[in-house]
Amino acid sequence: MTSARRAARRRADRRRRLTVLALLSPWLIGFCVFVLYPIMNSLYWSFTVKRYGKPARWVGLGNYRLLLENDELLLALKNTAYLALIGLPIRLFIALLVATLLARPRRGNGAYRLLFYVPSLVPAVASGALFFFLLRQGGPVAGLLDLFGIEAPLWFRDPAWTKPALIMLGTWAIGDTMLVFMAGLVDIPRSLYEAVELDGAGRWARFRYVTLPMISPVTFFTLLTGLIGVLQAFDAAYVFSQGVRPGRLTGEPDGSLLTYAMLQLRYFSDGRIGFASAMAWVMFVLTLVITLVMMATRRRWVHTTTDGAA
Amino acid sequence: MYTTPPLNRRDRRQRSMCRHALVGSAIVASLVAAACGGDNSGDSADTTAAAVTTAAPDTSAAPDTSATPDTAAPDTSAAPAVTLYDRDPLTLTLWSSFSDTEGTEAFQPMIERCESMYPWMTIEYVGKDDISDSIQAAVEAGSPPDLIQADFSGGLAYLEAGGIVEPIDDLFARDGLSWDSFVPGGKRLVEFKDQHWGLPLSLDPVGLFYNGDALAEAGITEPPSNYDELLDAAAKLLKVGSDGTVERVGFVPDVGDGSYVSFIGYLFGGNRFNADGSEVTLATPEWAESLRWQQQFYDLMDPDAFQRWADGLGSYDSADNFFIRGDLAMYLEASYFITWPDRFGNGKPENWGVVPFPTPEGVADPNNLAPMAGGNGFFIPTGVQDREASWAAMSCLALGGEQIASFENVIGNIPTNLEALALFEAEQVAKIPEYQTFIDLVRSPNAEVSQSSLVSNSIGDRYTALALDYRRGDIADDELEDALADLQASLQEELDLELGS
Repeated sequence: MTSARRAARRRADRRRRLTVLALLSPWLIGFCVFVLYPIMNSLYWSFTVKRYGKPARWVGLGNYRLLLENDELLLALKNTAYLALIGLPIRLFIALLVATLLARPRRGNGAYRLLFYVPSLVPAVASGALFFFLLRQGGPVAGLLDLFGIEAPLWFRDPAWTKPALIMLGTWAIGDTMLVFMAGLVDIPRSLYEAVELDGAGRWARFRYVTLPMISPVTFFTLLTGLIGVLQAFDAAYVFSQGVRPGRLTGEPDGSLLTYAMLQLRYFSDGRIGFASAMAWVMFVLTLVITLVMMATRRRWVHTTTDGAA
Repeated sequence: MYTTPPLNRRDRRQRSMCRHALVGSAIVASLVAAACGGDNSGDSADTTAAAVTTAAPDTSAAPDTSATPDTAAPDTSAAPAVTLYDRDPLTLTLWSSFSDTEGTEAFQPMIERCESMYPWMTIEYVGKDDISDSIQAAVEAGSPPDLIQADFSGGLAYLEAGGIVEPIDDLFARDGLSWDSFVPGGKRLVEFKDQHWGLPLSLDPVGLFYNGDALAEAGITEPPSNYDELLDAAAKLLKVGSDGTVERVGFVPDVGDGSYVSFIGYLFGGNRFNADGSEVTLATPEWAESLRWQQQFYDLMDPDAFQRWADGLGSYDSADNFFIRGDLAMYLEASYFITWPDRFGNGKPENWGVVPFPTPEGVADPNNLAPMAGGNGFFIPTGVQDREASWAAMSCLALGGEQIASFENVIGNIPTNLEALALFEAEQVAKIPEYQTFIDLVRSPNAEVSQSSLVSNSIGDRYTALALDYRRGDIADDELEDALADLQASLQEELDLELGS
């Protein structure tokens, strides 16, 4: 190849790269201005005392040191971990169960799918208010339990029951997770079931050795997104605690409803942007670590095809 | 209700000519006064003194323009009179913490008055639920509204620290206004670090609402006037069913809209911060004593039965409100609660009464202890398009008499401007005598809102959480002082970091 031809090719390559960059630039500019810059700014602010209207003042690790000494932070993390470790598996299990029952083409399944999906369309604040009405003393659930001589729990006042009430609300709105599971279930080739049936597998064995492995990529996805969602839990817990005592973000009773996001909002409301930014970065690192651990252990339990794709 | 009809173009022209004549006269009179060496210091002036510089020459609309120019213009050299009355049309945006629905109606007479006084001015009302966050973000972004109205009683410290609002002392003095035109609590509402950051509009005094029928049923002839009587009455008014369920509670300090746990601390003489907001002062005997006193009311009942009662209460802001329904016999609440029955269509029950919150033994005058739940004021954000125009609108809004009284008829707070307060008293007490209790509290020289600090929200929430822990027994009685000291130390550390000290 002559040098003139090489030069022409280089020019053509450069033009192509410039064209690609030009086409990408609206997104790139938007990303840099609206995503990258705020992220970097919040990282910087987390090492400062920053208030609206005033330049940031560098305090090094001061905000992080205060965070470690903050007893409410531990409480908020515990509450969030409770919702993640207990609430999320229950939610996924029920969503999978319902999806398994409704994935098969049967008469009336369409209506049931709709019924199970609709609650996930209700805004979390509205569904929180609805559950508050249903579960409070003198409400329909308490009345129903009373018919059987059972004293209704204090869902919103007894710390032992507040988080279960939140989990119930999360379980009610499983429509979106159910839909993802159903998509995974209908994708499983019938031939696999026929093969294990020939081997004499029963219902449980079919589920254990075919269904579960085949939907494991879907399970991985719902677990990861669900976990991130729980770490950001705010609205329903906020509605429940505001119902008990409006106007405060203490997550009463006894802070049992105080989630990490609620605590963070309080510091933002106090105008303490630096401290709230430090909280955001602690949560980011925590989420990143959990995600990396899940990704690292993925090969052990997520079924992959031979080319390595999940 | 006072309203001014909108002006057509010819009226505006005629009024403009009158304005020029009046302004010219004022300037001449002021020059004469200055030449004669008259004392123009603002100290002796009252609200009427705003006349020439900011109040309108439209005497029909402005009650404060009756002053003669020589007493009304304390400093003519700084007076922006001409520009204020003869300028291009300008739309000013007023952000308010009241909702669009509530605020638009309530503010209408006040806005109409100002637009009539300053024909070039149009005030656009915008209700903001999250005004505290919004205003900070707007100032940071360089696009603040022209004026804000909000309850910043606990937040002046961070507004000052962030440079979100500006002090108005220079304009106030220039126009010869006097704080004597407001109740003392009104001045304190907008005061921080010896500066004034706005003009007060109203205060939210707190009183003890009582159900007269319940008191009579329990054989109580007079509402309680001291702490012991209150505890005694609460015990007598408590109604427990044969199955142990609580049917009616006599009194508890924190049920309903807001927690009055902190508020009781103020009644005991506690302060959350020192005057300039640089020190947390929770580890004091007053705060511990107030928590122990409150505990006595909960100890009257089985904790589980009380929680079941509390959980079954109707919504605070509805006709099912627990006090309206009679589930609670005595209720610590701010003045605006008087408007509740009307809002929810029932009308005020005959058996309601309001007294000042009981005082400790030995304190004869309940108005000696007059902490307020909060209060509203007008503030000028930093970086407004035209500070003079904002000030004109602000002083016009805050100095109205009839219009503010009319505003408070809707909102249910108590005016801080003495003229409006007198009108409000004359009109409202005749209709609802219980307002007198709140008016007296607002007039008290001790009327005061809570102090402000850079960690106001944090301290409110964490103290409330500590109070709940103590109530549930998670903090033992002999550990209470230590718990308060720990909380104080932790909050002080947060505050020191914010202050850079």
